[in-house]
Amino acid sequence: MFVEIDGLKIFYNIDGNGYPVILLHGWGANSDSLYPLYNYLKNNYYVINLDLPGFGRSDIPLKSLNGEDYKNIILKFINHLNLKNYTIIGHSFGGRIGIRIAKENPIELKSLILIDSAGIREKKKVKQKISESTFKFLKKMVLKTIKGKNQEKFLDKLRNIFGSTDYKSQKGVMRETLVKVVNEDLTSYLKDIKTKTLIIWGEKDKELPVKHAYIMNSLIKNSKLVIIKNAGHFPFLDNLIKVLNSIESFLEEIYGSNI
Amino acid sequence: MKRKVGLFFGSKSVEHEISIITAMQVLNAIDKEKYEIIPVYISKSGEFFTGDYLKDIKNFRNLSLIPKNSQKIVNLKLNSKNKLIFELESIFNKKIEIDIAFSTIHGTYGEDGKIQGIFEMLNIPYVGADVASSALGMDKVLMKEIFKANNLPIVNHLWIKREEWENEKENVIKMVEEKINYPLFIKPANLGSSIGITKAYDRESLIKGVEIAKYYDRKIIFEESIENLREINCSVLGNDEPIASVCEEVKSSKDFLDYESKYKSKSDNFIKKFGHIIPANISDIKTKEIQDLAIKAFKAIDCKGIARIDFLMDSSSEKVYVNEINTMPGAISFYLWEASGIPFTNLIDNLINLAYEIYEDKNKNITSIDTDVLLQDIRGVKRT
Repeated sequence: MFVEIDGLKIFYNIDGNGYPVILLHGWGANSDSLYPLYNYLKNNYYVINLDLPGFGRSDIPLKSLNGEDYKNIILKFINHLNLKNYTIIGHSFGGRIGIRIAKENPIELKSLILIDSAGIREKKKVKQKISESTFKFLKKMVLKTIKGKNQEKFLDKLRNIFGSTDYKSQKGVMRETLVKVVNEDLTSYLKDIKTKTLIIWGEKDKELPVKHAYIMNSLIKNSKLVIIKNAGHFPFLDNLIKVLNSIESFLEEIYGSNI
Repeated sequence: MKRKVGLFFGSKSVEHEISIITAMQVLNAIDKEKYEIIPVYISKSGEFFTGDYLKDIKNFRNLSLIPKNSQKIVNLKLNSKNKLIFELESIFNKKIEIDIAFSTIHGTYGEDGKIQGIFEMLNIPYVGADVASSALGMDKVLMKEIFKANNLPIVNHLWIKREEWENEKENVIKMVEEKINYPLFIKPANLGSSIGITKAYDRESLIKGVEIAKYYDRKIIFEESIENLREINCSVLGNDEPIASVCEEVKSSKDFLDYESKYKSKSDNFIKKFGHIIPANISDIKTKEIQDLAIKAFKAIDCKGIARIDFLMDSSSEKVYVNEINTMPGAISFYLWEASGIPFTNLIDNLINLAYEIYEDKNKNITSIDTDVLLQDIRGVKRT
């Protein structure tokens, strides 16, 4: 199904009965990446799984977006579907959107589930700093020495050498969007979240270290933390049963078991 | 550090070759960043071999070359760090260790609790069903008794022992014909993959069927055939709180799936095989009913890890019967989990994590108590 929000066509799937649960996927992925959660949560909930703007079957925005833009689009989407007493489950980048929404404590948001969520900006490591300053230096050199058509070509080469995997795999508007989004630090938002929150984290996440889980858990007032052993950035793939059990027992606490 | 996974396959089973295929599928799919695979091939005569030669399916075309190209395991023992040690037959006293065992043996000496017993005694984590659930899943007679006790729908059936057939053939025929309508199936109690199974339409084919089945097991089952049959399978994953996969429908060109059509049609490619419809073309309500029954059957035998539960559905009445549970399904049912959103590689992660969960839980159990019973004066035992 598609719905148009702010001139962007947004693709989504809905299934099941009960309280609404909205799934927000990670960067570079689409709603399919959360299919196992969608597939099992729909037994007891009304589950909405959408492709975020710029991903999957949804439209690519005409100009780059920031985290706030994403938040506004999702709130409009929720409004459009007239969802009440809903829960948001955000994975990785999807967690950023969840944090932004929960910070405003909307009355209809009953709970928030963050899975290996982005949002905490780490101090750069020495290696990264060197890599960045080398890039900046080389970029300057290219801008100075190479003119015309070749300039952009060389710059692209540099970006491909120094950029992150996410950065390299994106083009145009979404590349700019990524730069905006990853530089946003949401640490100061966490203490404003009053919504009951479940934090799930893969112990061996290499993208977002488990340290972030502990920080989020200590800053969000009503939060619980579940660490999934031997799991990485996608704990619902490495240990689906554990993740599902944690989510289901948390949601039972929120909504009661008579669903 | 990478976990060392001992991949056990082959064994003294009529499904020896199928087990090799499943093992090679696991070997291809497993995340090599996380795990190191140590192949352990058990020959048809029960000898254990290891070595890189056993990582290539092509090398199994000629089984007689295996002893020459791999290392024979002469002893299994546990070291102090709870790792299983393989002592190899060599003058250098070579040893290999593993952290966890993963058996893809189908059928006897592997899916029936026997190899699980070795893993239990040596106290190392292992993937899948434990001793009791494997044994129950292998013996169709015991399986049906447990299903019946748990109010799971099963088809009308009875069973005999081989010597009853040898000694009182006439009585057995009479008993079967009284209780069960033709057409009916004759099955050895402890085999999978349809080997030794016959469909009988009359007395003559009934006798012929028993004469085949009796060579495979000492217990023989007679089972009423569901006409207008649709075969629906569903896999279950987990330990105490398992989940069910999407359902598949298995279409067969023959009357029932024999060994050839189950595994050999369309070369050896299990998935492209003609006749698997995933997801099965049945209503959402039926799907839910079958998934719930699958979980119930899994829990009934206290299964662990993974299983595939096979159902028989009467296409006119849509009544569903639990046919059997396979505690080490062919290809580990990965195609059903991929259709449920879990790629094969992650399915293996799930299975290994589930195995560790059981292992850690088990090692909390008390297995010894302080007692002075041997110091007491036991009647009949002379104290010196």
